[in-house]
Amino acid sequence: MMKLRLIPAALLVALFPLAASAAEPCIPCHLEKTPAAVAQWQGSAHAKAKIGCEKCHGTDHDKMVKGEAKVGMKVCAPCHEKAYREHTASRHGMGLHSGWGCTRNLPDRKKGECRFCHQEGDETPRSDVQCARFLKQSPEMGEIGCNYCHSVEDACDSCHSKHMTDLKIVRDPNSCAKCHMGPDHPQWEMWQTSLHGTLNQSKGREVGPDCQSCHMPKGTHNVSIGITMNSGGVPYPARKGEPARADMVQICSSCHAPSFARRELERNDQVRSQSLAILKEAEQIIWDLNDRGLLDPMPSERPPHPLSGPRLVTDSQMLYEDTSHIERIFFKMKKYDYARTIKGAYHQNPAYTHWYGNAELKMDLVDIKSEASRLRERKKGGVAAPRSVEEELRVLKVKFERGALSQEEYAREKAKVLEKMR
Amino acid sequence: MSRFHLIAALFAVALLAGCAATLKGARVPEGFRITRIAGSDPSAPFDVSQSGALASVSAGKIEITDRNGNLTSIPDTPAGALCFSPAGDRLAAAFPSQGETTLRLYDAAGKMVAEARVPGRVTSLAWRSGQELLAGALTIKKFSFGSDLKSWLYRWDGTTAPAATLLADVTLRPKVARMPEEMLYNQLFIAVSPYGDEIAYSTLKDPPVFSPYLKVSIRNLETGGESEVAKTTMGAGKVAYTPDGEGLLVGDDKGTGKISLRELKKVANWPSPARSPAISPSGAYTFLDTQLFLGDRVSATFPSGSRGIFLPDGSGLALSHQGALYLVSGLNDRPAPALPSDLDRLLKLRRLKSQGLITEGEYQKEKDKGSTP
Repeated sequence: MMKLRLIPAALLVALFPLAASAAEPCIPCHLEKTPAAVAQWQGSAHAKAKIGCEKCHGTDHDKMVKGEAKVGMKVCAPCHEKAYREHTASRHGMGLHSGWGCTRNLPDRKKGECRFCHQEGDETPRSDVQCARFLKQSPEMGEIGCNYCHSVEDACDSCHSKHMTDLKIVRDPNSCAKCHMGPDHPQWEMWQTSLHGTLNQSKGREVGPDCQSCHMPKGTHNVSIGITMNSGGVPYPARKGEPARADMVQICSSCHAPSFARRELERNDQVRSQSLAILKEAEQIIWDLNDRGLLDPMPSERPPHPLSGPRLVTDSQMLYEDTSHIERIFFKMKKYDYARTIKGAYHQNPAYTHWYGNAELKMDLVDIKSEASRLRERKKGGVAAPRSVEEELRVLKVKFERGALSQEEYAREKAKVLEKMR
Repeated sequence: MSRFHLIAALFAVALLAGCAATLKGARVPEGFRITRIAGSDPSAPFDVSQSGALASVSAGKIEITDRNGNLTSIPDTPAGALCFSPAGDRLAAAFPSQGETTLRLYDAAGKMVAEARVPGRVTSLAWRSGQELLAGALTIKKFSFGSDLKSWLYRWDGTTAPAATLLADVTLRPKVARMPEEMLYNQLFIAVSPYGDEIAYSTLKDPPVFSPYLKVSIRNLETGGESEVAKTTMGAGKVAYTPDGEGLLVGDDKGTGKISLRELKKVANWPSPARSPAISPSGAYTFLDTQLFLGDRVSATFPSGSRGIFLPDGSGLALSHQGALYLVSGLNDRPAPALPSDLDRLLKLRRLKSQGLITEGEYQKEKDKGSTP
C-alpha cells in the first residue's frame, strides 16, 4: 500500500526536480499528509525560486506539529523588505493588532493563546494595546471572531494564502471581503453596489476601480494611504489629514479631474461631520444619564469593563454586552450606522450613506432620546418631582470631574443651584 | 438649670459628701475655689451632666451623685467609658471584656434601662442627641506578619442593635502591635460637633518606614464624608470641638493647637501638651492637662495627671486627680453660643460640604448669607 502511495510522489518529484531538491526531505511525507499544500507550493514563485519548506517553517518538526512554528511576517520580511516596510507603516500593520488583548487573567484561557502576541520566550507583547471586546470573548470566539482578521498585522497569509503566491488571489476584492464586510464596516458590499463596483464587474478594473486600485495604488502594501480619519471615524488633525487628502486626490485623479475629486471628498467630509454631531448628541445623553445614576443597570451594577472597570465606556473600547439597553442602541449607532454613513459616502454609495447609514443613525437618536425619557420618568416614579439641591450638585460634580464643565462653568452652575436653598 | 443652681448643687454635693480637702499642688487665682466632691479612680472615666449630677468610677464601681448629694452605686465591672446624655437623664457606660464590650444605659436612679454588646473594645462614648449614642471601638486581630487594627463606630438608639460602621482598617507592624495596651487602645476618642452632625476622632496609622502616629479626621454622620484634619502623636488622641464647631483642639507631646476646620491648619497654639484637652462652653477657657488657660494666658495650674471636664454652664471644672474628683469653681465663662435659627439650612450646607459638592469657600459664603443666631 505504501509503495502504491509513493509512486505518485516519485512522479511528482521527477516532474519538479528543482522544487523537490529545495524541499527535501519534507516532500515525500507531505505528499501523503498534506498533498494540497505541497501542490500549492510547487506551483508557487517560491518553489521556482528554490525557497523550500525549511526556509519558512524551520527545522523543528515537533514545534510545527504543535502549531508553534507559525510563519509570521518577520519570516517573510528579509526577502520582501519593501512590502514589509509598507505594510508596517499602514493600518494593517499597526492598528489592527489592537483588536487583541492579554488573556492572561481570563479564567478559561488557552495556553496557546499567548502566541497571539508573544514570541516564544519573549515576555514583551508585540503590542500593548488591548481590546475590551476581545477580552469578553471565549477563546474559541476570540480566535475565529477576532484573530482571523486582526492577525493581519503579523501574517502575510492573511491576504496571500499560505502556500500560493499567485497575485491574482490578492488582487481580487474578495480577498479583502473576508474582513471588510458585515454590519460594522461593509466596504466590500458598498463598493460592489457603487458605480465603481458595477463598472468593475461589467468593464473590468481598468474602468471600474477595485479596493486595490484606490487603497493599494501601484501595488503598495500601505493600505492607509489617503485615509483622513481613524478606524472609529474620527477625523485626523489637519497636519495628518491634509497630506492624506492630497494623496487621495492624486489617486482619484488617475480617472477624475482633481477639482472634481476634491469636491466629492469635501462633500463627504461634511456628511462625516454632520453625522458625528448626531453621534455626539446621543453620547452626551448617555453620559448625562450616567451622571444622574439613571442607566439600567449602572456600570457599578454589572460585570466590570475588562479594561476600565465599573465605569461607563463609550469610546472605541465600548462593549455591546453587559451594558444598559440605551448603550446597546448607541453601540449600534456608533459601530454600525455611523460607520456605514461615512464609509458609504467615501465609497460613493448612496444607499449605504443614506438608508443603511444616516437614516438609521437619526432613528437611533430618536430611540435614545425616547429611552432617556423613559429612564428619567421612571426615576421620578411617574411624579414630576424636582430634584433636590444635593442631587443637582452631585450631577454637576460628576460632569465637572469628567471634563464636561470647566471650572468657571462648574462654579457658576453651583451658585445657581445654591440660590434655590435661600 | 441656672448657673447659680448648678454650682449650689455641686457645693451641696461636696458638703453632703463630707469632702472638703483641697487639691495639693494646685495654684488658682483669687476667686477660684477647689472642693473635693467624690471619689474617682485613677485613669477611670468620669462625667458631669447638664443638671449637675456626677458620674465617676470609685473603687471599681460606678457612682452617680445627684445634685442633692444622693449617691447611687452601681455594682458592675469597672467601666471603660462613661457619658451623660445631653439632658442628663441617661448615663451610658461601656464595659470592655474579652474582645467585646457591653454597652449599658442607666436612668438617673442608676437603674439599667438598656443593654447591648458590640465586638471590640469601646474606647469612648458620646451622645449625638438624646436618642443616639455613639461608641468608638477597636478590634485587633493578630497575624504572623503583624496585626489588623480596625476602628469601628457604633450608633445605638437603646432599643435596636447597634449599627456598625468601619472607620479605619490598618495593618500594624509586629513591633507596633506589641505596644502596651494602654498606649495601643488610647485612641478613637469621639467628639461630637455642636451641631450634632459630625464627629472628630483619631485613628492609628502605621506607615512602613515612619513612626506610628494618630490621624485626626472629621466625618459627617449622615453622608459618611470624611476628611483628615490633623496628625498627632500616639497617646494624644483626644480632641475637642470649639463651641462654634469650626475648630478642633488637638494636643501632642509639645503643645496644643487649635485646628481651623475651614483652613485645615493650626490657627492658635498653647505651649501646654494635652492628652485630654477640654474647652469651656463659650470657648474662653481651655484646660490642657495641668493648666487652665483663659485665652492664651495661664489662669491656674494643677498637679500632673489631672484630667478635667468643664461644667455645662461654664461655671466650673470637674477635675479628677489621684482617686478624687474635685470641683474648681469661680470660672467666669459664658454659656455656649445658641445654635443658629436656620439650623436646618446650615446642616444642609455642612452635608454638601462633607461630600465635596461645595467648596469651603462656597460653604462660608452661603453660611454668611443665612441668619445669625
